[in-house]
Amino acid sequence: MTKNLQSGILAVVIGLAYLVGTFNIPVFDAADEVGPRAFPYLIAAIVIICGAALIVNDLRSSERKPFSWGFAANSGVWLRILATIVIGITFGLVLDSLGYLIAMFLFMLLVSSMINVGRLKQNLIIAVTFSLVSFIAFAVILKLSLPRGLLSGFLPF
Amino acid sequence: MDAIFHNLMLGLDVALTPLNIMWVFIGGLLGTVIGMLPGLGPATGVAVLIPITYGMNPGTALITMCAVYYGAMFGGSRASIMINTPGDASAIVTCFDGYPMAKSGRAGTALAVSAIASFVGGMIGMIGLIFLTEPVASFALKFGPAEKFSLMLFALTATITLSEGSILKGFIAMGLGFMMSTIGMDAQSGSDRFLMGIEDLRDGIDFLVIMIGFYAVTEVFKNFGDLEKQYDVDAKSIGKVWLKWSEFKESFMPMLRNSPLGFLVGVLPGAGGTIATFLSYAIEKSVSKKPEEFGKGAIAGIAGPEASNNACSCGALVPLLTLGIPGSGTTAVMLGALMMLGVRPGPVLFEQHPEVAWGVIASMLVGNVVLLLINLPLAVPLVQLLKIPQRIMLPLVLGMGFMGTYFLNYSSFDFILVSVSALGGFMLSKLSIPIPPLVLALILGGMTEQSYRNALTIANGSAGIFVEKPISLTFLVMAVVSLIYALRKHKKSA
Amino acid sequence: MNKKWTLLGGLLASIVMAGSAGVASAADWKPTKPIEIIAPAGPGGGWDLLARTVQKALTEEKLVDQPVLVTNKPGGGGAAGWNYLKGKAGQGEFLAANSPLILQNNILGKSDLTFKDFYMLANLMAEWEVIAVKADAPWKNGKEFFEAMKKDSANMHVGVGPALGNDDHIQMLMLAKAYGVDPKSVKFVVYPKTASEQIPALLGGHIKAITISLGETLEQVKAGKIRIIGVSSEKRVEAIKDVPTWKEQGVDFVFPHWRGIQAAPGLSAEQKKFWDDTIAKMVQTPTWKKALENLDWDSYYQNAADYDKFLAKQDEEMRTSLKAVGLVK
Repeated sequence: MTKNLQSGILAVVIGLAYLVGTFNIPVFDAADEVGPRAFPYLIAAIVIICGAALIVNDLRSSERKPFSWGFAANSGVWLRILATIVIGITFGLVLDSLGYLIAMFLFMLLVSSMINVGRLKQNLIIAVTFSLVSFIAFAVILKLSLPRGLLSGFLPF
Repeated sequence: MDAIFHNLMLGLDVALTPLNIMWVFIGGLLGTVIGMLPGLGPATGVAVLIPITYGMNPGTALITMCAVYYGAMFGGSRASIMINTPGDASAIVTCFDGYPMAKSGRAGTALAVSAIASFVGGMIGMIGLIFLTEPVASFALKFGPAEKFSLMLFALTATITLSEGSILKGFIAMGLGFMMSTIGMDAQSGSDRFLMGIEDLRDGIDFLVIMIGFYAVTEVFKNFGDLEKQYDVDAKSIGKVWLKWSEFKESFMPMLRNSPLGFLVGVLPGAGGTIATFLSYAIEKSVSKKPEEFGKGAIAGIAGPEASNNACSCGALVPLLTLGIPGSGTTAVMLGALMMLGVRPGPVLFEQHPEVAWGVIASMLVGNVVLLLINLPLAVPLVQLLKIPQRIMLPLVLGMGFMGTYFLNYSSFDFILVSVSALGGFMLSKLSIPIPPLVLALILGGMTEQSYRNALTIANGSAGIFVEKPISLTFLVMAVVSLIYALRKHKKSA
Repeated sequence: MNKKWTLLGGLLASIVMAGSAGVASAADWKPTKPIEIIAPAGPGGGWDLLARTVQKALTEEKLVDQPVLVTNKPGGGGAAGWNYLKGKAGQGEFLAANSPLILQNNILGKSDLTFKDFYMLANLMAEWEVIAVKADAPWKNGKEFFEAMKKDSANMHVGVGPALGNDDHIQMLMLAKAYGVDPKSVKFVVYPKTASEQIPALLGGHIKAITISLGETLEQVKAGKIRIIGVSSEKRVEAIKDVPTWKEQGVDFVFPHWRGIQAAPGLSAEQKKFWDDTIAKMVQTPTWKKALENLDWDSYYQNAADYDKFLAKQDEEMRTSLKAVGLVK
């Protein structure tokens, strides 16, 4: 499958899903004449029509270079992406309970170990410096509120 | 005219006291630094300053806050150029050409162009603010929902037609952006839309979060393929932060062209820097003799939008000063802080406290010079960042991106959004679907829909309102023309 | 230098306190950590301003020993910030600004939170609602305006923001009903960016009237560009002395847009007492009074007991009026 064919299919699928969602928007009495559904219908139509046109154009075209996501060939890239997403979401989940300092330290240590493989000392330095400097700059000097979490009893600020 | 000069001299008297110059410097520096960081914009910068302003006289307080405000405008594009991470929505456009320039070792040039263009834009914007406030403010009042809708439609079409690759993909990207903008509660009717059972989505998707995902984090993902790579930097030229004469000539006209445009867009209620910068970019690309350079490091692609952005931030002060209403988030914070000090900006301020009103205006002239002086030398240490190897830089970019995400709403849910959108951005770029129309549609989506519905409510359901109003009709015609132009160009090349 | 020592002192104190927490429970309670006032919206709005005004008064009048931070937690029409506060149950260092939205969110089914989930510490200030028209518009008072609306509601568009179901909207609905106009026939144009869009729209002649807080219009009134046809206060407001209240115009309608402050749920009696006393002191201080004056806010102080009764009454009234126009089923 070519790039354009995949893009076209993706657009049509997303457009249809969005269209189904649009049918389910509740409409109240107090709504305006246009209502909450009109604009979404229009968007769904644009995306589906353009996606379909992309598919048709591609099937008619003569030069069709196959396109691959490279999940196998570039598995390193995809695994790192997956890991970043997991680490990032987990960071959000533990941020309030652990506090910014600890959570940011762990986040930085994990992502830098994943990117800067095998240099533990460097990564520890990055993690400690980044979390400490950002905490002092924002929480202490600029007085923005960052969760203090586990350390809340020990931090003097 | 005489009166204006008299007032300006009065203002300069206030602005040039050592105390006020010192605060302009501090505020400008703080603004630059805050503007550089993703997630922290001028609104936060001014909010942080509020406790400090309690002890000041109102004039100095306003001068300091204004310095933070336009300081952030200067700073916003530093990170766009260095790490492809816009500090603010209006700095997105600077990524398009600034980051490619940095990658090819011309970061110094990019930073210099952006600082100089910001300065020129700011100065021209100030001239507009001083001499044209009254006529421009009354022009802005003509902008009703129909005019606003057509303007946004034009900005979107221009962005689609000028982005790389197929127009169909451009429209798909715009559609995806609009889809994301409709998630959440509909302001007009109160209906929940596309929540998919997730309560956190009720307030809608914060485009700044998506922006961090699409630019900063996606860029990191792209680099995962080549971790040992170094930027293609020439150790000798790296420290040079200045322009060659030819480069200066190349950026001169774009600055002059786009400053008035940015100023005008800034005056319009609720339009703001995003429209101004995207429109400027589209204009520069369409008038350029070398449009193929755009997206790969065209100087005009930085100079135009940067000038436009700073002129726009001056324009945004017009509603604050003439109507006493804030035109943007930042000016809203400034208004609040000033009211706490017992000063209400607005038409009455010019009559009752001309020394405050004009002192601020004069201080902004001074501040623009100060910021140029801060930003040019600041570029020297910044370009050294390019010497940091990728494998250390990438974790730092991720850290800044996630930290910035938290500062936007203090919400853990946003980390899911930023991660997912980064993956989406990566996949879209693999499929060669252009990102700019998506981001612009996401930012303008809510406003576009609401203007459309407000226009129809006012016209009691008659869609004729969009072509009956001359300003609206003009924008619609321009949108159609840019579309036809692009279609013909594509036919030829195909 | 001084600051360093206070920091160090604070550190020592907190260590000592942490050690002796079990023993000292019966004594008076005092905040032991920085106090956090949550503004459940971004910087620049009414909640943010109130939170920062309280911060200023508490700090400058030295009513508390701990530093006071303002945290912006926007989202869900306040729900995000209030949910965060709810999660701090039993901790006396967390406060949040509030407004009638805490009632309206629940009435409109946007949020499960109610005022009963918190310790509603005090009502603090009120702004008044007005209906404003352009200075050269033909309508001078409520009667003329609503008569015109009765005749031709399709051309009497009213600007409101940021969304339907708020105080501004409710004021218009209740007035329309009182003047014999069908509330459902009122044509609302919604401006999500509130005053910054509503006022230019009014001045530019795109809409006929706006329903809005008084403070947002004052500059334009002083400049003679817009006219207020009625105000929702009990007595006439100093800043617009020649504008009659709705009550004077023969409609029994007094409607404060109040804002107050609430604390986390599950506070001990000592914690409640500390804040009751502190806020009661705060509203008497010159810093607080001066700030209200600068911001054109009326003091509307109610202590915790009165505030609670007031909220219950408001809740009932709003539920009735929103039901009448079909926003609540």
